[in-house]
Amino acid sequence: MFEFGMLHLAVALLGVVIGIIFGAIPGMTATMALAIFLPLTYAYDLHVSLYLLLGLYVGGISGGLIPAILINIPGTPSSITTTFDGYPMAQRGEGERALRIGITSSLLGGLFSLAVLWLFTPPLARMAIKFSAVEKFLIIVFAMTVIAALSKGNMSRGIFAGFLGVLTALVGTFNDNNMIRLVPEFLRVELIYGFSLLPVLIGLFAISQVFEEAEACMLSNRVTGSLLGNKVRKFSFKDFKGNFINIIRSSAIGTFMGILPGVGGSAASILAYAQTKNFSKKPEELGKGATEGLISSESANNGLTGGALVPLLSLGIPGDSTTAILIGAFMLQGIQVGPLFITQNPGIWNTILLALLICNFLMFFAMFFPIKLISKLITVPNCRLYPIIILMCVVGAYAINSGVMFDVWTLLLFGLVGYLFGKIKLPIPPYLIGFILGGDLEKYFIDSLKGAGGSLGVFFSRPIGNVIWVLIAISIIYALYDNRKSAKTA
Amino acid sequence: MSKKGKIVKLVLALALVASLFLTGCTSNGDNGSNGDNGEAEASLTGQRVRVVIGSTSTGGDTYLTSDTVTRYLSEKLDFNGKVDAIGASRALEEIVTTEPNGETIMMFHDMTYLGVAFGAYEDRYALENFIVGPRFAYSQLSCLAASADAPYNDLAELAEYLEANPNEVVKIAIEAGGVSQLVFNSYYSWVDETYGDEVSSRVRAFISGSTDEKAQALWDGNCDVMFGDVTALEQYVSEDVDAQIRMKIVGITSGERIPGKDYKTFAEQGITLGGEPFVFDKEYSVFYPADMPQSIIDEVDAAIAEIAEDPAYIEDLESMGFRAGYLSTEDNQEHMYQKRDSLMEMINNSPSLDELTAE
Amino acid sequence: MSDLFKINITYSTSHMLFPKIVLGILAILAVTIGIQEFKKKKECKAKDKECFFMEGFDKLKLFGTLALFIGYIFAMEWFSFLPASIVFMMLFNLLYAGWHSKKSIIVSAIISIVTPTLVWYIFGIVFNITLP
Repeated sequence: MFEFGMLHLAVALLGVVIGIIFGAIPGMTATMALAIFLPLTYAYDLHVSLYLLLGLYVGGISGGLIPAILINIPGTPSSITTTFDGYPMAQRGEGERALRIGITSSLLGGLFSLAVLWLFTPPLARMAIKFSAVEKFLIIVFAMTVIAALSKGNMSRGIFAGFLGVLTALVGTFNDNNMIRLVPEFLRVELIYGFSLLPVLIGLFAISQVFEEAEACMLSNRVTGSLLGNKVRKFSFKDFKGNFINIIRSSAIGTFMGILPGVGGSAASILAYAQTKNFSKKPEELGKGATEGLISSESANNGLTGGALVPLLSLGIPGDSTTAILIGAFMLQGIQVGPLFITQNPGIWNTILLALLICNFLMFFAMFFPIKLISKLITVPNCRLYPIIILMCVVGAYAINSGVMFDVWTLLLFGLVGYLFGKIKLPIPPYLIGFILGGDLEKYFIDSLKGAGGSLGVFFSRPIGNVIWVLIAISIIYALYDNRKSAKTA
Repeated sequence: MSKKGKIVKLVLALALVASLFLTGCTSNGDNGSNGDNGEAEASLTGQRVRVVIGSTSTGGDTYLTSDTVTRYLSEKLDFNGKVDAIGASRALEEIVTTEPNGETIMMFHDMTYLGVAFGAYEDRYALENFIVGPRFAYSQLSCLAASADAPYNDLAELAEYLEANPNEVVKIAIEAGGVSQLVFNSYYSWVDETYGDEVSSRVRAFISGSTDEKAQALWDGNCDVMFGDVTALEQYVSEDVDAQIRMKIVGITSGERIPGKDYKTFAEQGITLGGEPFVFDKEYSVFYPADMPQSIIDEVDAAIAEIAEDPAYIEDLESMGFRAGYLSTEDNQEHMYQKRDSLMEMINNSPSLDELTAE
Repeated sequence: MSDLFKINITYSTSHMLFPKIVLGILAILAVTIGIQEFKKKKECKAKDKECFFMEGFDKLKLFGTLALFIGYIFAMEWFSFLPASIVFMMLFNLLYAGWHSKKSIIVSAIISIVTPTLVWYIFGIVFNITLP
């Protein structure tokens, strides 16, 4: 009861490879890749289209780890936390090892979420509906506690940067009443939708890095460790020893964040990373090139893929912005995705599961074997690499909203902001995390209050919500304790 | 040194590949230029045409209808058309500022004028500031749906229910500034006229976003009734659906029932607007920037007139729940201005959303 | 819950509610950071003056990058993507890699012709992405 053949395998491979390219190029995302190929799928049968689109999805989510590890630029928003440990590893000369660990974690996360999708879709969908605006608001607050964990020893600055990020996210139109706020009069038209995530992200990470390197004359070397490989640790599957629980936890968090409709997918790896740090035996190692952190981030963001399909295929509600585009593929073929989809279309459902399985393995092979070649990227001299990065960032920024030049200005602006932050010692990751989560934070805050007639008591009125409160409290207390400890030793 | 040499070699190899690609491309794509046809009759043929739409969703009605007609138009007029889902604000901005050379056109529905009418968008985006082109499709799918266990089965019963239970309030999820607000306001004003202030004051608006968000608000219990499209919502109507998410459709806005379905129309429930039965079809049209050459307007008109007769096009739209329906540029302009003016009175007399949403 | 813990949401002003809360939090944090910095300054008076730019920074490359970037954006608006990118990739390459050795200039030229052309072909033509 499924369709599979050489043609399907070929389009899946095509999808995966193109997806990886889109994921790897800063400023281009899985969402964009799907949007580009969506109109083409009309000409094909739905089964073939699904192999292609799911390949793009899996590839696009995974490809982001390449630039994150090798040049400290997250290729997609969900690979931000991959830079925290992946890049320090690459600097030590362990780029190849980091890539292999990242790719393997991606595969494991993807397979985990696929198993969840296959076995538990209906009950999980029923559970997801129980998460109202209140719980979503609290989950986002919970994810934001990672800011406290990240800015150890410098907590007030980190939190300040985080809320500054939230404020930046609020710029533009508020969707409820179409009113524009925090926008200077002369930019009313340009900023009507606020700053776009992708230009801000790559501005802060990529363009600011270009400025810093320009200041340092483009001479700095990314790799400080030996490249000869004698002393450098090689990858082996033993690297995963002791990480079994980490993988399960991170994949589960990723999958769960995918299942929750309306909570941005980038929150998945952020939340998983924070929990890995909280549970780690050596939390001080995270952020300095710990395999734990890398494994957590990558298994979580691929865990998202299967998770995001759960509400789509069982409720008709997309789990993230990429699956929202998949709806178009079904609709163009006149098929409704919703509560009856699986029972009415068992063939398509099986195809989806099989395609996802195949695409995950294709992703693994497509990245694992050419790794030696890919990791050479790190040896390209800065003076040659940065112009190309600028070019790709500009193309990506311009194309992300289908041709808006203001997004390129945003890219430059946030490049300067990131550069400036480095000078006044404000940390960039908390700022970016605040920016990513800020919009949802406001939305669910207001939605909760609207539903409850304005009573703040609503935030304490729900059992699941109260459990999340406890988690938030633990997370904050732990971060404070950690902060004090490191302040004393410093 | 040797590393640099390697890079040079690699780059050269890439250059070779690229040049092969390019020669391959120019040999079959030399009709792509559009700069120097100022003297000759302007035409879309051979151009790259960017079709901006007033929605950011690629699964929504605007995208589906626009993409379908663009596909047929591209074939008929032999241009390279691409739908860019950039959203209402950006699409409106684009259509009042872009050059009228056929590189950018807009496709959108009634929200084009409703946004301005409700004050959600500035007056410079008013219909008068660009050209209304032909209509290529319409939908009779707009509806209101309630939870399956609601104590009323249609909108008329809803009003009676409110009259009989003076402590009950019904919240209807809508999006500000669009078709859903129009439908809400019409229903509200009918309740107000028929049952008086006391009852209508308990018909409240719950401001939400897309259909997904409205559905979640309904399931959360934050609202009681929601606006949406029949195609998107009727899957929740089935008996096989979990009670938690089951819905019932309490009224559709089109003039006639959907064949084979027993959803009651607003009109047959006696809901009126300004004394007339309330009927609203969502219509999808092409829009051009001001000063668009007449030759382009004419060729698109002629092409859509033919496409709308094409059984394949009709079939494509109907499989998604839409109807093909051609109105020429001239007829559509008259029709749309008239439609707008007929709704203006109700819009101007409606209470503000501040009042309609206050607790 | 008592009315003390109630926030009334008025539709027309609901867009300013959350920004006000965030601005409030930011103000509190700014004061906290100010006090901390003040304390630190007191503790170590003999702190050497910190410069905004690093010592011996590359003025030409830093400000050149900014100027070229701005120029690039305008050039794309005026001359469209491909010509603008080729010219500015060349300039970026010259700025970063120098223009003293012939070989380096040739490499710059090749990179600046090949990459934009490839990008333009693959993304602009094959994938039909909207390019400037």
